[in-house]
Amino acid sequence: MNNPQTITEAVEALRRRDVTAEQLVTSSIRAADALDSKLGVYITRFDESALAAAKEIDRRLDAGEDVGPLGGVPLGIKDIAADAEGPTTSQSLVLDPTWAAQVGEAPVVTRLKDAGSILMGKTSTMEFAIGSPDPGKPFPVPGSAWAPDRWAGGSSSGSGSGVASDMFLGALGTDTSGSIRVPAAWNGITGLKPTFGLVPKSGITPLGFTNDHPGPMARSAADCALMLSVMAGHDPSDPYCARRRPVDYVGALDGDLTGMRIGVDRLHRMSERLDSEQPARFDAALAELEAAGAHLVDIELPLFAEGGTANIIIMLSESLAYHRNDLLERWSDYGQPTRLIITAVSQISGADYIQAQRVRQVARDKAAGLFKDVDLLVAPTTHLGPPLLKDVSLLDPFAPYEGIQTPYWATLGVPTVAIPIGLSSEGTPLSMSIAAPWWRDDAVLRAGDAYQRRTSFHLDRSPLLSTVGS
Amino acid sequence: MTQRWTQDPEELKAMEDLRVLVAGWVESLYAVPEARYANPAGGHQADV
Repeated sequence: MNNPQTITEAVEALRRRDVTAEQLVTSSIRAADALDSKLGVYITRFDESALAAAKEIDRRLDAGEDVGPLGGVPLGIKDIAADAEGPTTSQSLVLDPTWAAQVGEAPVVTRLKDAGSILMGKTSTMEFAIGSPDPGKPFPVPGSAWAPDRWAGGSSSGSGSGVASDMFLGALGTDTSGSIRVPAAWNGITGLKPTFGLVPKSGITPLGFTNDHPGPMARSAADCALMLSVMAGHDPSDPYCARRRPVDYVGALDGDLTGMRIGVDRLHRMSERLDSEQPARFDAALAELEAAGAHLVDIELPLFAEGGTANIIIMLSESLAYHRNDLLERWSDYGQPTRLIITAVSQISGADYIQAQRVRQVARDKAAGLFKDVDLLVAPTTHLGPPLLKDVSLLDPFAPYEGIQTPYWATLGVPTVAIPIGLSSEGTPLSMSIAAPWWRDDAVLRAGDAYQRRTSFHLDRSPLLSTVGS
Repeated sequence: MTQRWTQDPEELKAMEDLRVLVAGWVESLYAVPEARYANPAGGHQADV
């Protein structure tokens, strides 16, 4: 059979023994051999240990053993999460090489491994998950799987482009302002920013302590549901991690949105430029949600701009606290976009940070009010496709974020999934975001899955993949 | 102030531009009327 494209298919095929874990891992390695030099997906590859793990999974499957819900599934891990398989760099010359050993493996990585997944390697990011690529540093410059001369988006760059280029079936990402949803959007895959506090973030280098969300990235919402089922749940090592019992995310997927009220905001007021295909693609996606049974209501998201601004101020302030001493001592070891964007808030006050947190609370209160009238909210993830890498300015670190509409949802902390909706005028993927009230991660996955049962954009393959031999 | 970080003229110019940009953003946060008597969020969702 052809290799499975999704985790859901792979798990079923492995259990039927239609495919072996070794075949899945070998195929992933072949894709990396062919494409990683073009896409910059990996910082570290674990080919040998992945093959050994695959053989062990196959042996256990042959023996009729339970190999776990992700048994034999190749995954990528964003290289800001500590793991026992290899080094963690946070794509930086600055991170203490002993950091991962000091903090220990991230609980979310341990959970993915305990579920039987096979770690294929550590994926590229932006340095400490912030800024934009600096080609002057000895790390990959990540390109989109749909257009390698364009940015993969960030900061879970390699996690996004790696799924889209068959280097693994799913990946761990993190999202502080859009770092799961933007690379998901620009690589044509699905990415979930879970409710803040649902997935523990200890063992992951922080960007913004009160905004960091680890989450799954994969082809489909169903795959994200399967991964989240493993990743979610309290861990005492993260003081922000909630003591809530995860729900049955996979069981919530029934393809039916009958009776659901969805508030829609096209956010045209937020962008000076729109890709010419974006409005039609977005409206076509809305029509599919309606056809699945949802009732659509036009709304205006309250304090969308201010909520997004609060996210940026809070995130960068918290990041500056973490990096301040290293920036003073090792300025030139940081990439130029990283050091400039973090210190952009070096002259604001503690009062300004608190004001941002006050606006955040107001935005949350208003969103909570909105959710009394609707079950879900839908808006564009981005209004534009990814910029050309040659146009990404090292000295203007906010410029690559034009057209991105993700920070608001991070400041709220609500679950938000990015879903592919077709191609832009430049042939790169576009995306919609579906959000639900806090802890209703099941609801956004249910809506994303219902849409994907009616469409196939999440399975579309970049023309680049045709260059990989079977 | 920015010279504590770097002496590079090109970077100092970029940092000044960013300072002005961020200052405008911060002012926009003080212009939110409903925040006048609001408590700050703490990052936890239980307080929503």
